[in-house]
Amino acid sequence: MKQMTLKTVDGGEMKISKIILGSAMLGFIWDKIGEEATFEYIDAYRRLGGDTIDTGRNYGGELDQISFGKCEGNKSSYMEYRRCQKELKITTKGGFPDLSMADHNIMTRFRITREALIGDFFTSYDRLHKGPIDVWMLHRDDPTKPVSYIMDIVNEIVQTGLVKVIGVSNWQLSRFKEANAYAREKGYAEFAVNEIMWSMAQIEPIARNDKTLAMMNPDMYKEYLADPTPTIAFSSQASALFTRLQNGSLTWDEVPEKVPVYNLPINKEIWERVKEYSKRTGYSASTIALSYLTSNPVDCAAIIGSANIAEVEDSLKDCDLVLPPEDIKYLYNLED
Amino acid sequence: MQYITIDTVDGKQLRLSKFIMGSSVHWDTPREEGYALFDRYRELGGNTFDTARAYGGLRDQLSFGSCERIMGDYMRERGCRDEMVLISKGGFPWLNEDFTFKRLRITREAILGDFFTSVDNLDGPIDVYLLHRDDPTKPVEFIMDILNEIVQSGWVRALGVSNWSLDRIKEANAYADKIGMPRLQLNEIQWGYAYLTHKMRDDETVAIMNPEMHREYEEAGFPTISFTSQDGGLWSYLYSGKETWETLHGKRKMYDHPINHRKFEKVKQYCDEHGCSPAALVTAYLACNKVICGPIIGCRNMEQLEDSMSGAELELDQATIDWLDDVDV
Repeated sequence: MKQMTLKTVDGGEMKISKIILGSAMLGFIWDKIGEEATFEYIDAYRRLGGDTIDTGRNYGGELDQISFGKCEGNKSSYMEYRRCQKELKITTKGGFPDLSMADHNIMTRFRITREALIGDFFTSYDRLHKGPIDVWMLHRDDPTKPVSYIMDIVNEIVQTGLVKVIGVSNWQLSRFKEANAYAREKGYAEFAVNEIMWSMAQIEPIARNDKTLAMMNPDMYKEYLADPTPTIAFSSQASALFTRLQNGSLTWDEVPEKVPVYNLPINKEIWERVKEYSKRTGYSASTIALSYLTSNPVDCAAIIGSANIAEVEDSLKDCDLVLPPEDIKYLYNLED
Repeated sequence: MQYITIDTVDGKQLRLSKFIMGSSVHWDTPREEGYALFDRYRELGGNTFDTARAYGGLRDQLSFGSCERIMGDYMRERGCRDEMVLISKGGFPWLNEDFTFKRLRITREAILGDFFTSVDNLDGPIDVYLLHRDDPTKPVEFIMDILNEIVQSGWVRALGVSNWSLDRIKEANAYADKIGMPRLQLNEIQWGYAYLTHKMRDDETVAIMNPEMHREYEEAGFPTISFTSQDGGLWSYLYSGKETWETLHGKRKMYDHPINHRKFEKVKQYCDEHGCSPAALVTAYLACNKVICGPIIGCRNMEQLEDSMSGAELELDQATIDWLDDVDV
C-alpha cells in the first residue's frame, strides 16, 4: 500500500495510505447489513493495507438527536470496538453549507464563519472520540471571504492542540496558495492537502448538480504540477465506470442514461486505452484507474466507495502498482 | 401574562413571558402553518421560545438541528428577533440508535461544539443558554469554567441549566461568585400537575418536581421553567372523554396511578365549576405557583395553542393551589 506524506501543524509528518475508505457507502451498508458486518468490511480494508477513513461533520445524518453526525459516530463505534483509535486515521471536514430543507440540492448559505467552523470542529472532535483529529478540512471555500479571515479561524482551531493536519476540500488552487502565503506571513500552520473531485474519467460539469465542487482539469493539473500540493481525490473511481464496462454490467450505450456526468467522447477513448492496457498488462480496470491517481506525478490519495468486501478487495488488489509517467500520459494526458 | 426576570451576564435584566413556546414545529410541518403558531403565540403575549441543539433532528446533513433552524428561519422571515427571548441548550447525551443512553456529553469540546453550532443555527446571540443535563461525576468548577468561556465569547445573554439538582446549582453559583462570573439563572425541569416518579417515567437523567424539591425551591427562590407542563395532554384528553384511564395512549400511559385519579377529580371539579379548560388550569397551576415557574407549552395546532395560552389569563390564588395539591398521597 503506497503512502502519502502530509505535513502536520507542528512541523512534523503524517503518513496515510494512498487508498482511503470513503464514507458514502458505509452508511448504506450499515443500514443494510448491520453493525458487525460493516465492521468486517472495514476490517477487510485495513487487512489489505488501508489505514484512513474519510468522513465529514455533516455526513450520514438521520435523527440528529441521536446521531449528531451519524457517519462520524459510526467511525467512533468501530474504533471503540476494535480498539484502533491510534492505528486508524480519520479525515473529517467542517463548514459544509446550509441546505434547504425543502430541496437539499439547494445551498442556502455558506458556513465559513467563525461560529460555524468552531462549532463543527469541536462537535467532530467530540463525536469521533479518539483524541486529536488526524486531518481536518474546510469542506468548502467561501470566495467572498478574504483568506486572512478564514486562516485566522483555522489558526484558532490549530491552537486548541486538537488537530494534527489541516486542509481544505473543493478549493481553487489559487485560493489555497493565497491562504498558505498568509499563513506563512503570520507564522500559522499551512493547509497540507486539498480534497477535490478527480478521476481518470473526465466529468461533464453541467451534469453535476453541485456547482461548488472543485474538479481536476487540465489548467488545474498544470498548476499542481508546477506547485506540488498533495490532493485527495473523491469520486476517484468515477462511479466504477471502467470497472463496470470491463465486467459487462454497463455498456457504453447505457452511459448517457446511467452515468450522465461521464458521458463524454473522451471517456470512450480513455476506455479503449484502459481495455488495451488491461489486456496487455493483466491488471484490472479498477487497479488501473486507481493507480492512475496514486502513481500520478501530482501527489494523490484516492477515496474508494465499495459496496461490499468483494469490491474492497477488487479496489485494493495490486494497489502497489506504480504506473510510470509515460503510461499515465498514455491513458489520459491532462497536460494536453 | 406574567414574567420571569433574570439577570444577564452584563448586569442587566431579561424578562421572559411565563408561557413559553416549545419546539413544536417540526421539519415536516408545513412552514407557514408552523410560523402561524409562532405568530399567534406572540400575539397572545408570549415572547420566549425554547429550543435545543439536539431537537428536531431528521437529516443532520440538512438540518444541523432542524428545530433551531426552523426558529432561526422564522426570526429572519418575520424580522422579529429583537422581540423574542431565545432559550437553547447544549450537552445533550449521546444516544444509541434505539434511543438508549450511550454517554454523557458534558465536556468542553462537546459543549463548545454545541454552543457555537447553535449560534450559527440561530444567527447570533443566544438569550438564555442551558446545559441540557448535568454530569455529577464532574466538579461544578470544571463545568462552570466551560460556561465562562461561553460568556467570554460574547454570544450569550444569560446562563442556566436543565435537569440539575438544586444542590449542584447552589454549588455552581457559589463558585461563580467566587471567580466573578455570572450565575446560573434558572433550571428547566419536568413539572406538571400530575404525580410522576422516575420509575414511572423510565429516564433517570431528568429532574422531576416533587414535594420535597418544591420546598427547597420555595426556600431558595430559584426560578424554574417546566417541560411536559401539561403532562402530555393527560388532563385534556381525560376531561374531553377522548381517552379514559384504561385507554390512555403513548406518553400518557405512565400517569395511570391512584394519586392522579384523585387529582383528576379535582381538575374535573374545578373546570366544571368555573367553565375553564383543563389546559388553562394546569398551566395556571404552574404560572401562579409560589415556586417561580414558566411552563413550556407544547402544541401541534392552533386549537391546542389557544387552549394552553388561555391559562395565562387565569389567576389562581394560593388557596386554590393548596386545594389542588391537597391529595392523599
